[in-house]
Amino acid sequence: MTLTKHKYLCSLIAFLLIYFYSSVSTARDLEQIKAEGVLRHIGVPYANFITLYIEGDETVVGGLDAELMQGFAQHLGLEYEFLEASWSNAFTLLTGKSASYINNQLQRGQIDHGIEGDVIANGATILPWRSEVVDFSIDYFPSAVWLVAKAESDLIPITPTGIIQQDILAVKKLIKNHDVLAMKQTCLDPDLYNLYDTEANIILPITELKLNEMVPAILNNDAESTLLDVPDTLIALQKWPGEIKVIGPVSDDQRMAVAFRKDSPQLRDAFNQYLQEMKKNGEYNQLVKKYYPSVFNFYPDFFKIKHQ
Amino acid sequence: MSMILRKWLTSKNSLLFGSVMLAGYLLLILTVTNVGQKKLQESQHNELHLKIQHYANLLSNYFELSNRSLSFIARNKTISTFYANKNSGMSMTYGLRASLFNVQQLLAERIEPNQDKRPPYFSRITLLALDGTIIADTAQQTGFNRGNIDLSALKSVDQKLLINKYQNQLSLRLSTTVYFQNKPIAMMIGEYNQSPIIALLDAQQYQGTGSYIRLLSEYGSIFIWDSLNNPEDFDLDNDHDDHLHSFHLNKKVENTPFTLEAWVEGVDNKSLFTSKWFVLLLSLLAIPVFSSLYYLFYIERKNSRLRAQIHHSTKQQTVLSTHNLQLEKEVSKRKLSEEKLAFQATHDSLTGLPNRSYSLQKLNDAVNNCQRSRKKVLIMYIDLDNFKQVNDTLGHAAGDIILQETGKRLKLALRKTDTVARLSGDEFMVIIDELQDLEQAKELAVKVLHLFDQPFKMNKHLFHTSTSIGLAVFPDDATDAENLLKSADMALYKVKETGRNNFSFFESKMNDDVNRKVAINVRLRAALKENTLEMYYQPLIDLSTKKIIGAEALMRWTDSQLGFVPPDEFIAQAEKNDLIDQLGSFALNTAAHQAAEWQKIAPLQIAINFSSVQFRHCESLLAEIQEILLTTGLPPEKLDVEVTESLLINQEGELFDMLKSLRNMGVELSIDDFGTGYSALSYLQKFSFTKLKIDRAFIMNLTNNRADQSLVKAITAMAKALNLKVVAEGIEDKKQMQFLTGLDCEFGQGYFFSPPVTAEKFERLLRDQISAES
Repeated sequence: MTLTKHKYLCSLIAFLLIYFYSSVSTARDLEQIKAEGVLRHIGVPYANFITLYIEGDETVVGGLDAELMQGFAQHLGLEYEFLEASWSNAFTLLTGKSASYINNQLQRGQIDHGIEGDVIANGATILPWRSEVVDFSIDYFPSAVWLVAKAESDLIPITPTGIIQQDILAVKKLIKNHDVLAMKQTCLDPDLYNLYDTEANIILPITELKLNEMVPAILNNDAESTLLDVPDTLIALQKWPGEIKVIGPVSDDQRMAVAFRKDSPQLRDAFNQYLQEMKKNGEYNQLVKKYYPSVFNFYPDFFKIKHQ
Repeated sequence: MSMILRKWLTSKNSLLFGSVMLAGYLLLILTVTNVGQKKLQESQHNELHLKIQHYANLLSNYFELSNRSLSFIARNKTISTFYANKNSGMSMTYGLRASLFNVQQLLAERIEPNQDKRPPYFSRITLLALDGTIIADTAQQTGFNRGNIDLSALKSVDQKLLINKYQNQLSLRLSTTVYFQNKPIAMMIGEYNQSPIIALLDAQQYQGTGSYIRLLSEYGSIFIWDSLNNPEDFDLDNDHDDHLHSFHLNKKVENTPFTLEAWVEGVDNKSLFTSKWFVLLLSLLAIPVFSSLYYLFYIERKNSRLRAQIHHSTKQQTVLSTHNLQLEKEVSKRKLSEEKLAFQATHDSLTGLPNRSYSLQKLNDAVNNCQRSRKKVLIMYIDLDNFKQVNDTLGHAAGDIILQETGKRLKLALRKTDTVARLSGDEFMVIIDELQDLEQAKELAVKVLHLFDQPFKMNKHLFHTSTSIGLAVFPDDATDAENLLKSADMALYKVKETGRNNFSFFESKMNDDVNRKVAINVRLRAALKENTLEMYYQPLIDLSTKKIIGAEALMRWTDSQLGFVPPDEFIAQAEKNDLIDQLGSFALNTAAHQAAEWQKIAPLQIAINFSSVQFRHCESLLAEIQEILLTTGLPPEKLDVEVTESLLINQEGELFDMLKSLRNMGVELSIDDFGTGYSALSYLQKFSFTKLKIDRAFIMNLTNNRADQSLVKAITAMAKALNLKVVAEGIEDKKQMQFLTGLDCEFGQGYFFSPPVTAEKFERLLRDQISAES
């Protein structure tokens, strides 16, 4: 009796060990995703990249990235699943381990939370620290970070010199002693642009804000000005004409891309291939036009279709 | 008043009045047509004025709407957003370009057809800064016409229509000042799309008369349409207004520097021409109208003459018809009296019956008719017995009443087609057409005799009388009417001779037949009363043992007056005269008693014949049989009820039940005279018979006739198959007996064994047989 019990316990342990080993060592790449039949899209609601709205009892996901990923899933012959995330947990959901940028340094978590999704796509800006955590696809949207102020602010928009670095310097000079709203962990992280060196009064929101809540915050007198990325600025200028003004650039030109786990190169390659094809046949520009009609005016070169 | 009016209203006056009215009517039409034509021209002129004014109004509205449209664009949020952003000091590089892009987008949208597919008012919209630089333009590649744009002047007004020549074309533009924070900040210039303006008027183009229309300004004109039929008639540059041929109209387009100029061809000559012809036709129409008036007058005159004639003839007709009516009355009166006379001549005045001469004529007719149709005519010569006596004792009035009553009774008793006539005094005659047979004649005579059974009523007295009737039949008794009447008279005489209250045929043989039947009837009743009928018994022999095993009871009657009467004859009479039940009862009673007696000597079965007529009352007959069996103590199986086949034809229900009851009691059933009647053999199975009696007719020639042999063979075979015993009737010699024995026929009956004998003799035969056995 004890002998059989012992035997049973041994086999159970062996099975668990094998299972653990295989789950750790086997990369969750295209093949496995295909085998499971679902592409899980992690997204942080942001500008017109990811929009969430409630219709009846259902939360409907939309936006440029949602459509892009739905198309990609269909291309792969997979079901599409959306996982809503915030900037603080997006990487955890993708890689199983947390990652954040604190004091100009990348901090990695040690606890394995388990992988929930396969791809982050929500207009994520390619930042050096992020590149250490994930692999980005080829870029698909241009961006930059601007300083946006309330219309009645003393801050006067700079006169463009034609050289971006000089314009950035001009802006940084302007904000000395001015309130600037920024947000950690995102592309609006003040550490990324050494804003603390400008002697500006950097205000970080007490409660976690979404990026599209930055302008309402300054209109609410939470701060005089805010950092804002270009796509959000374009929308804000339409939404609140005459109430805000763009002072000038804080960052160089940036690029946005889709983030993949470092151990799923095949999935990333498949996406790159898919995106290239879309760009080439104009489908991608059609998609962009739907969500950002005026972006072509700012970045005509970026969206020029290249025929190779 | 009405008289005066009627006098005045003669045909001549009517015609005159009609003519004057017609002339007036024509004059009126001519005047109205003339005036109408003038008014038509005038109204056409007015209509054209209105039409052109309408076009001018349409254009004015169009420009008004376009003004509003451009004004709306200038006030659009996109424009104000751009200026708000610009005002905040934003640079094109950092943000402002997006707003500008939206402005360009807006302008581009507004020069496209809208959702209703309505063409846009403007083909180009340009946003100019007040310093003259172009901020946004829907046609950036095309040069901008700055010819008449004075920004400092324009910014002081909201909107202005700008017209000038540019590149040899008429340029039509609208300027709208753009305000930001209530100050002029820019100028929006919309260049008109000219084709919708032309299309707007084109859609209203006047069908019918030709016209030429253009929109005139000091810098040139816009051509709208030309549908002139004869353009060479018009000198478009020098206006002239010839009402007969054309109209030249100018209408200012309100709130614009435009004038709408139009040339329209005058009233169509054709319609004028038609009007003239119309008047002429109306005038000509007077001719046929006058002719028809004259014709009407002519007819009217003729009519009045005719009416007078008709009036006259109607009067005459009325007089004539009165005369006619009187005449008709007279004629019918005469007819009636003639008919009355004729009736009086042919009929007896007392009874209303045909008289002697008329009845003889009728008899003649009847004889002639029946001669052709070979049928018989019966006449009855009727004489009231002792009539003279009535007359003498009760008076002639009483006699007359009897005669009248007699006539009535006779008529009521006979058919309508029969003739009842009074010959003279108390003599009547009845003519019966189409007599069937002498039996019918006899029945009728009896009926007439019985008519006098009821007494005649006179003054509360009842008076009995009888009648004597002489009968004669054509053609048996005479070949003509006169002789027939004589024969009847002779027959009557015979009756009178033999004691009155009777009838007699002219022919003696007929008399005998009838008399014998009557005598049989009378004597049979007497015989029943006096109990002079006798029962005879014929032995029934078992052919295998040659022993008497039964007897058939047979009725015999020897009358004191008629002598021996054959059973067939008196039974037939009894059946007719309701005596058969009594005869039956007598036979049953006597034979059953006798048979019961004989049971002491030998176990005999007695066969008794029953007439079909007796079975009319099945239940009472059954009850009678049961009672007899009870009173005599005769065992039921010793009674054999003999019936003929004719009884069984088409009988069911009651009879069936009765025969079944008899069988159940144990009484046996035999079919008598088998083979002579209608044989529906199914009854043999339906009713449970025990014996079948082959009629003597088949036995008579049995030894010589092969056909009879075959029949008898077949009958016995059939009886065997149906489990029936066979009795052969009328065996007269040994050969017949042997033949039948050979066929296994069970029983026999006939003179060869014994004729029917009295009860005493039969008993002796029986006792002899027993003593011989012992």
